[in-house]
Amino acid sequence: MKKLRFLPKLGRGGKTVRNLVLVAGLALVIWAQYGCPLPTLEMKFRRMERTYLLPPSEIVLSTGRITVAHSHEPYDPVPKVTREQVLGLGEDYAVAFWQHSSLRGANELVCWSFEEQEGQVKLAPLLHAVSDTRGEDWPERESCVAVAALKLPDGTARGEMIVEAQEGVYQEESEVLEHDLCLFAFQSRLDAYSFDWVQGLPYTLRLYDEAGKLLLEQTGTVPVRA
Amino acid sequence: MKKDEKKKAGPLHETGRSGQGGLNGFQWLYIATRGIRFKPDRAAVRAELAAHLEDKQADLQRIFPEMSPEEAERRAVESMGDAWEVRKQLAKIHRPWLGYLWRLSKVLAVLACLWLVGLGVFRGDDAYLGDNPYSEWWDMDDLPRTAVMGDDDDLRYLPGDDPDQLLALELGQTEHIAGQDVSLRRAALWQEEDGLELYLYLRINTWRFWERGLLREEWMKVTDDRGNCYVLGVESGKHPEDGSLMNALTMGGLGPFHSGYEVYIRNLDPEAQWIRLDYGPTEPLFSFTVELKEGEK
Amino acid sequence: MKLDKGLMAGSSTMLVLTLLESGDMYGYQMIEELSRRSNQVFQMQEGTLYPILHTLEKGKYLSSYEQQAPTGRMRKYYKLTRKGRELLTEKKSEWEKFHRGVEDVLSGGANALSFS
Repeated sequence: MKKLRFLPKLGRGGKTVRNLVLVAGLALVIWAQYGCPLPTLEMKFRRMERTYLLPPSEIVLSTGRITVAHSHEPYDPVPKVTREQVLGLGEDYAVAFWQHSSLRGANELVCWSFEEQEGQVKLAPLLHAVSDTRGEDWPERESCVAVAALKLPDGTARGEMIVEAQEGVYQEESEVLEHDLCLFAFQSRLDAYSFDWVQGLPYTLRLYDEAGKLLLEQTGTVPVRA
Repeated sequence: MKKDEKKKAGPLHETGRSGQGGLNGFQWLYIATRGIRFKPDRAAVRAELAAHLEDKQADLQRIFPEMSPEEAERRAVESMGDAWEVRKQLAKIHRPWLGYLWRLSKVLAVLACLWLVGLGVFRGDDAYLGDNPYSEWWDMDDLPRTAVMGDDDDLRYLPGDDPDQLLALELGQTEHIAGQDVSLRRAALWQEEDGLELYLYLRINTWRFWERGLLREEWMKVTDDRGNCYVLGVESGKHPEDGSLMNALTMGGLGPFHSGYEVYIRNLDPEAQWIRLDYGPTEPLFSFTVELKEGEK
Repeated sequence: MKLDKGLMAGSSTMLVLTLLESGDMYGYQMIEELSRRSNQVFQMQEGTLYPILHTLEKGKYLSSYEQQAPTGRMRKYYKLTRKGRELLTEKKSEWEKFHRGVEDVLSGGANALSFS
């Protein structure tokens, strides 16, 4: 008597394939449950761009994993937070992206439009610490706000930026880094708990060439996140 | 199988390779099938060969009734031939790799299921869409899904008999950006006490579920032919009736392959002939224009 | 699957396929049938039958199923597949050519074309 079969009978090979396909499907579901993590920072950044429908920008800064402390108190034992950041340069905007490695799926993309900024040099604040990119003499626990200066005039070798806050003036210097940008890392103010204290403050930017000649002086207001 | 091993194995060490005379059925089968590394395969082949031996033995005993069972067994084994030769040939045929892979695939499948059970997926604790009130597997009805499960929200977009409903359009303007399909699905225009209210339903589709599109309210600019620029969000002020925001971009559905959004403008200029959506941080990434001709449904 | 060259070249494959042409059989049955048909000329080492059967089954020339014997044990029956029939035809024609060639040589070349 012939047995009725609704599904084709699979040999061992067929069953193996079926199992592996099933595993692949379940793996996708598991991956989705963890927020679809991606291996490299650049992939995450590109994905973020596509999520926001942005065309791919040129990556001008990528910090890799850096451990920073939230608090400015040097003796305050605070949990360390690991962050990775990317700065991308688009046509008339810059996108800053950081990934909170400790929180599943927590990441953020901030877009700094250049339209509202006057002056040749455009600023893009990175609102979290980038101490790693400044070299090893930056103590790990120092947190800082960095402002990236983009679209520098040709021949710029280094620059300095002065930000005027209520209580005083903060000045930082920077060499020109790869991809033609300067990164000014301002240490956190003692009375500021938020990292965006630098937004909206008046600034003066001076750029010098190799010989030390002043190439450009620009003033304005540090852009505020929309 | 290496030749040294046969010296170590228990029942075999008395007989050399050349002297088959001492082998009994069990030993012959042991040697012949030992080359098959995957256990289930080995057992199946062993059973087949064992059946053959038994048949042979039974036959011999039938033909020569005075023969002892041991003698019959010995002769049967002899007729089977060289156990080592058979072992070599069977080993070449029955490679274990597929068997191991099959076992692995079973283990992986079970592990994956257990993992999902552990994550609570089958209980309904889906971390992917989960608690989100806007979640739906697919936008079947081409209508936004709202957190408030009131039917009124849906009917807003569907043509009906309500005289206050001035327009209910099924649009389909689509733009393809960054691997996503952004589409303006529907528009509805309503006459309310305080003015004209416009509702727009947008949807973003992609099969890449790991990068579903998102819209940001601050990047959405709404203008009309009269030169008005409608602000969205907190800055648009509050609606006098219920205190909710006057104009806004809100979520209207979320699924693995789509995300939906609603734009509503509740202080629309009555003279406006069309409105335009421009979306982007600086230059628009996409734009949609909606004609507002009254009386059409 | 790559078959052992010796296996394919040898006539045992052809004999096994021929046996199954007349019907499904299990291993021991094949040995008996082979012996009967050849009047005891072919008495192969019975153990070596099974590697041949398994090889052919792997190559999809044979398919198998299990059936319970009157003694109560399960017997594995082999059956010729379409692909197997094709192989048999091929093997038979090969054999024919070989057979004719040998005969021609034995007959002293009487059938051969002469070249002068």
